[in-house]
Amino acid sequence: MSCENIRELMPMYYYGELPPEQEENLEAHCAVCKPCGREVEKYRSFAGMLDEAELEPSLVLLSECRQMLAQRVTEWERPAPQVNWWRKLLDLNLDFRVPVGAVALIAVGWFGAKIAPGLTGSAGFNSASVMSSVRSVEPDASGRLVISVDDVQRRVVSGGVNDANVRRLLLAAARDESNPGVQVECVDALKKMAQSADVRAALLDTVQRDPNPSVRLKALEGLKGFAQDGEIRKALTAVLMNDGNAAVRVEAIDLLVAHRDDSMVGVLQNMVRKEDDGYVRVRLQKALQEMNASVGTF
Amino acid sequence: MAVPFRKPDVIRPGMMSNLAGVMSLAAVPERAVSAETEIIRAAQSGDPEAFERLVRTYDQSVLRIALNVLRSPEDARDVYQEAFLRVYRNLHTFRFDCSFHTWLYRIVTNICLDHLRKRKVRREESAVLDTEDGPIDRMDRVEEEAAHANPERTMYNTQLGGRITAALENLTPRERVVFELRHYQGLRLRGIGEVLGTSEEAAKNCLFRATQKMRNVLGDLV
Repeated sequence: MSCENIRELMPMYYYGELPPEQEENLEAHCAVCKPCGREVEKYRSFAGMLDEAELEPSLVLLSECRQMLAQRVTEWERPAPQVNWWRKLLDLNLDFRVPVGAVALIAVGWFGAKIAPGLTGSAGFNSASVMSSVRSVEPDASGRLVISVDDVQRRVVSGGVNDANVRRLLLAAARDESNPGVQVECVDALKKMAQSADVRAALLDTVQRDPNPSVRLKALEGLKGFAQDGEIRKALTAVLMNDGNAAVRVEAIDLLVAHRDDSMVGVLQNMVRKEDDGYVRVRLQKALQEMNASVGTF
Repeated sequence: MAVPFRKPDVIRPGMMSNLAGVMSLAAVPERAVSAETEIIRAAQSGDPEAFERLVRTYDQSVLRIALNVLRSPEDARDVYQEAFLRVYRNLHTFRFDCSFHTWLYRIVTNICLDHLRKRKVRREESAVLDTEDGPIDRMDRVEEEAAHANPERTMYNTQLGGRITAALENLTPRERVVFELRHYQGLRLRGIGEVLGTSEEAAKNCLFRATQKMRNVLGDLV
C-alpha cells in the first residue's frame, strides 16, 4: 500500500471503522514509515482539538427546554380517541364502585313514604323508607331458614346551606371514607358554608387526612377564599410538601400564590429542587417567576 | 526504528454519560433494552410518567447533538421542542422495527438538516443578539459554569470554537450531521446509516469528505 493510500485511510482508522485487514496493513505500514506514523499522530492531535470545541448544553438551557416541552405538550390537544398524557397525569383515580359480596345486601322492599308531621318545609323527614340487609342465613332443626335482617330506615332531609341539621349531616358524611363519591358531594356542598369556622376546620382536616385525592382536591377548593389565613397557609404548605398527588399539590400552589407572600419563596424554591413531577415543577417555577424570584437550579 | 503506534481511543469521557443515546444497540445490555421496551410500551399506552422518563433518558443527547450541529442554543432549543413533540404525537406509530434511539435520532437529524438547509437560503444569523440589556453573544449561554471556572480556557475555546464553527460551515448539511454523530456522539457508521436512511458506505464517504474539509481549514492548528 502506498503512503497516499495509507493517508486516505487514516480518518476511518482513527474512528475504528476500517476492516481488520486494512487496519493491520495500516499499522504495519506506519510502524516502518516515519512520515505516515507522524501523520497518524497529527491526525490524533487534530481530532483531539476538535474534542475541545465540543459544546455542552448548560443546565439552564436543558431546564428551559424541559419546561417549554411540558407546557407545549400540555397545550397540545390530541384528537379523540387518543389521550392527552400530561392531562391524564392530573386525572384522579376515583373509584365510586362499592365492593359487592362483602355483605349480602338485599333490598327487601321500599315502603311508602311517611311524611313526618310538623316538619314539612324545614330540615327534617319529608319521606322515609326501609332497606333491609340480610346478615346471616341458617337452617334451624326443623329445616326452616332463619334469616337475620338489619332494617335500615332511609330518610330524606332537605334544608338550606345555613340549616344546622343539614350542616351536621354533611360534616359527618364528609368524614365517612367508605363512600368517596358521597364525600365529594358533601365537601362540595360544604364549600358554600366555609365562612363557618367549624366547616373550615373540617375542610382543613379533610385536606390533610383524607386518603382520596378527589376529596382532598374538593376540600382545597372550599378553602380558596381563605388562603390568606395563617393557619390555612400552614396547612397548604404541608400539603404542597407532603401530598402524594400531583393535582392536589398544584391546587395547593395556586392557593398559596394567589396572595403575594414573599415568605413562600424559600418554600417554593426548595420544592423545585425536590419535586419529581415535571408538571408540578413547571407550576412551581412559574409561580417563582411571577414573584420575580430566582427559580434556582436543580 | 519503528514509530510507536497506539491504537486510537475514540471513546471519550463525555460519551459515557448518556449510554442509551450513544452506544450502538448491540452494546446495550439486553436487560436495559427490555426495560426500555417496557417504558416505550407504557408511554404508547398513555402513561405520562413513562413518556417523561423516555424524554429524560434521551433529552441531553438530543440537545447536545442539536447544539453541536447548529452551534446555536436558540436553534438547539427549537430542535429539542420539535423533536420531542413529534415523538409525542407519533409514538403510537413506533413499531420496534428499529431501536428507539435510531428512530429518535432520525427525527432529530431530519430537523437539524432542515435547519441547516434553511440557513443556506437565508442570511446567516449574527452571533450577536441585540437585547434591551445590550448586545449579547449567543454562545455565552452555552456551558456557563465552565466560563466562571476558567476564563482563560474559555477564551481559548471561544477562539478555537470560532475557527471550528467556520470550518463546519464549509460542510454540507449531511456531512455536518454525519461528522457530529460520529465524532462527538460516537455512533458507528452503520448506525449513522440507519439514522439517515442510507448505507454504511455512503455514511463513510460522507465522513471522509467532512474530515478532509475540516483538516483543510484547520490543518494549521496542529
